[in-house]
Amino acid sequence: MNLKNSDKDKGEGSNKINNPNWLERLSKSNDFIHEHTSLKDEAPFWISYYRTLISSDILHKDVLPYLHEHLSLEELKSSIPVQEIIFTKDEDKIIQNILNGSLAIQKYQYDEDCLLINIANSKFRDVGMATMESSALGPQLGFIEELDTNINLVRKRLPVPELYVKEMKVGELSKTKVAVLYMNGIADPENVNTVIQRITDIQYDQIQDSSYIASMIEDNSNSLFPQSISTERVDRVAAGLTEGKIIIVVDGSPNLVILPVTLMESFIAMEDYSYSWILSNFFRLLRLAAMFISTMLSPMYVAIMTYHYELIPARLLETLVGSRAAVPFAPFLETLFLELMIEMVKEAGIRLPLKIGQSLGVVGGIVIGQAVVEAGLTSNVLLILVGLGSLASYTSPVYKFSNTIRFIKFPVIFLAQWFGLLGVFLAFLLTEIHLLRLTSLGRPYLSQYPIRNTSFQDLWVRLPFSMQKENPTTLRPQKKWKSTGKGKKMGPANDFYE
Amino acid sequence: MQANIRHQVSPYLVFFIIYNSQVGVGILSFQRTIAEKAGYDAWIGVLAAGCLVQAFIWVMYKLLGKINGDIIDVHTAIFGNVLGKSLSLIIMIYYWLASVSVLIGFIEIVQVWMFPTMPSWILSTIILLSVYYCVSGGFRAIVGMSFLSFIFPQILLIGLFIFPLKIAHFSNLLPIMNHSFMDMVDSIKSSVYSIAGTEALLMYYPFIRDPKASKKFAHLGVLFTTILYTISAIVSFTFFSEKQLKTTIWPELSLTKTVTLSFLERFEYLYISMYLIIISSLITLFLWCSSRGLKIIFNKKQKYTLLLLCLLSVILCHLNGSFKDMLNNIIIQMNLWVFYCYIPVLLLVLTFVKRGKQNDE
Repeated sequence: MNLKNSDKDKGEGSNKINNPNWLERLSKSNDFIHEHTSLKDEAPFWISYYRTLISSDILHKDVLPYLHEHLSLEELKSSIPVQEIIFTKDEDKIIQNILNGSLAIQKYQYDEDCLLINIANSKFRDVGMATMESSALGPQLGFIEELDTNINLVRKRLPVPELYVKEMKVGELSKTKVAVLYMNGIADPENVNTVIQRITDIQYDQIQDSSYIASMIEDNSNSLFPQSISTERVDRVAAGLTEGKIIIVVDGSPNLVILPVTLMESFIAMEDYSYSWILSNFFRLLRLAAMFISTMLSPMYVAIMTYHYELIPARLLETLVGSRAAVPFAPFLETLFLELMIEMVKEAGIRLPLKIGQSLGVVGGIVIGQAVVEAGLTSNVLLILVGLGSLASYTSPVYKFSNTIRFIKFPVIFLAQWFGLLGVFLAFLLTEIHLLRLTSLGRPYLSQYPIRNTSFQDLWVRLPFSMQKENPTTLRPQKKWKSTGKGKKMGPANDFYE
Repeated sequence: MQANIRHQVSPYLVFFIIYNSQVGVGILSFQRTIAEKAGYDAWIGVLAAGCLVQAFIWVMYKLLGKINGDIIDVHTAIFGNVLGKSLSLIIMIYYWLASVSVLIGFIEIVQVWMFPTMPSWILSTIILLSVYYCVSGGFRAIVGMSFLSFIFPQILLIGLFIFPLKIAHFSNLLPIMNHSFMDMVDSIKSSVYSIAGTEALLMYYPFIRDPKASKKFAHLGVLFTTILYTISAIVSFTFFSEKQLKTTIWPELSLTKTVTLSFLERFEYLYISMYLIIISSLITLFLWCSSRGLKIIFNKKQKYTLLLLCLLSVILCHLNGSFKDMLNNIIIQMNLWVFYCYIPVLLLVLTFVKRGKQNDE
């Protein structure tokens, strides 16, 4: 029994003075259903909904049985066992709710009053492991594509009323739900206002992922460096909130955005906190060194082999020259060729399904690499350097940042070819200046400058928990101390064990 | 007139600015110039020059603290708009010439040691491009450069003094004080030029958040560079014989030839490349001072004054040759007369003018 039939049945009814506009607009789609609940006119309710959006289970079990009785809409509201029921006349609201999976109930077909019952059928994957940012130790929980579940996961870790959630709708067409999470009393209100202001200012048709929002609100969108961290780890988000960071959750995206951040945070893995502070310092330094290796190693090779071979001691030079004696290309072309090849293997590995991707890595990395050296197209020393560099680029726990590192070495290779070692350091200089100029929500991005006390507690190095007592001051948090206690552990009574 | 608080920097950073403004290409070659007359006693001259610079810092803080602004404010307060601004213009020209002389000095080093055929204009262009990028980021970015150039290459390069010490002859330094007073004065004179650069404070004073608190950091900065220069002088004196020193143009660069590691020879390539960072931050500071001064004097946007200065610098670098020595002479004379004679006199004049005004009221 669809709309057209029922119209014909009733003819031009006497109630058709205020034909609701929303009915006209929605009924154009074939999956929209507008029908009378009973054949007799005893219980004259009209229901309308999108067949594809609602859960027919709830509709038949919990809603339809009540519609056979003689009840007013108010009585219906109190008797139907569904949580979200709204009574409204507002057309925009009706359209919005129906589009989000609500069922609209009217007493008469052309009645303005309308009862909206949310029986949306939302299918999402279950909460599972964080796959992109996996860790051996620590919580494995990752976010999923649903906003409410994600906020639920965060709230479970921070059960305090100070965790504020500010919801907004972004996107002319996608009407994506965006929530801003922050700890009231810790986060700087100026930062919060800036984020909310920038999100409300977004004018765009569709938001498919949190990265859309992140790149739309970042301070410098021409920069290679991401000025926010996208994470799927619940612990990272919760820890950030307690330090006064602001989190953006976007419906439909498993990645939450953390703002404001500093460069050094891209080298911090949540796993660091599972180890002794000495070990985690070692790992942090290792990642930092890996970044330099990955961006500098092959450009250094180009610079040294092209211009400054005197820099290498004679015995080492023998090995280097011997390995590339048969190579017919200049070091620059050789390096560029090999780097591009490795990048292609990586790119193909990411695009292909997991199983094929693995075998591709074997073919690309081992077979082609070996063959290229045997054919005399590149030297095997370079193969080692490039392999090491590409391995090192993935040590950063933040995926977006490791992609930045992947890219940066190409311009440096060109500079190395033009200016030798001077070019390598010119690239370093330019990057340094760029990072100095960069801000994240107006806060300095390069954590090394200006120096703050708190940077020595948990940023460049990680001290034991008893010594990490202050929140990072770069965020200008309103709450200064992480730990209110004196931090003295109960030790042995004497200086030495007796 | 204090700058907006958003552009100001913390007092402790003055240490790094002072350090950065003093260390340039001078440290690579000053050992030869100071030892010309005073011989192995010249390192005492460096220490004496350091004391002189400390006094100069005190004078500058006194002068600027009275007006609470930069040198242009001081000049306009004493001499009025037209005369004051034209006097300031001379100082701005000095800043610019100083930056050009550093640039030319570095280009010369690169051409002698690394790339003999590379044209000057290419080198000056790539350096000035990065300088322009940094200056357009504002004063905080410039101070950041000073800070990072201290942290990254300089700490590393100071460690290099260990290598020549293995074969050093400390007996070279003895007997101490066997040169005449006039010889010592000569070594002080050339040391003062080598550790010049603190005069940039005259422009960036309004950008320090708490100038009074920053004073001790400025003095510490000068102390640090004085010690650095003294150690550098002593290391070269104990390493080179007096005659050898007179023919070595860049003693400090020659010293790095002693650095040998199992994977590294000819360390000076790396050294000079790293020096690019130190040089750029120094040029950045001076061009910022100069372009900001011109901006205030001529009421033009800093973008245009900076662009003009960069273009003129490229042209000057391309024309170098005999011109370089003339430029150095001009700067040495200007440095001596403007900053060590004129600025103290200015302080006296300002004190009297202020007192006179108070009496009038």
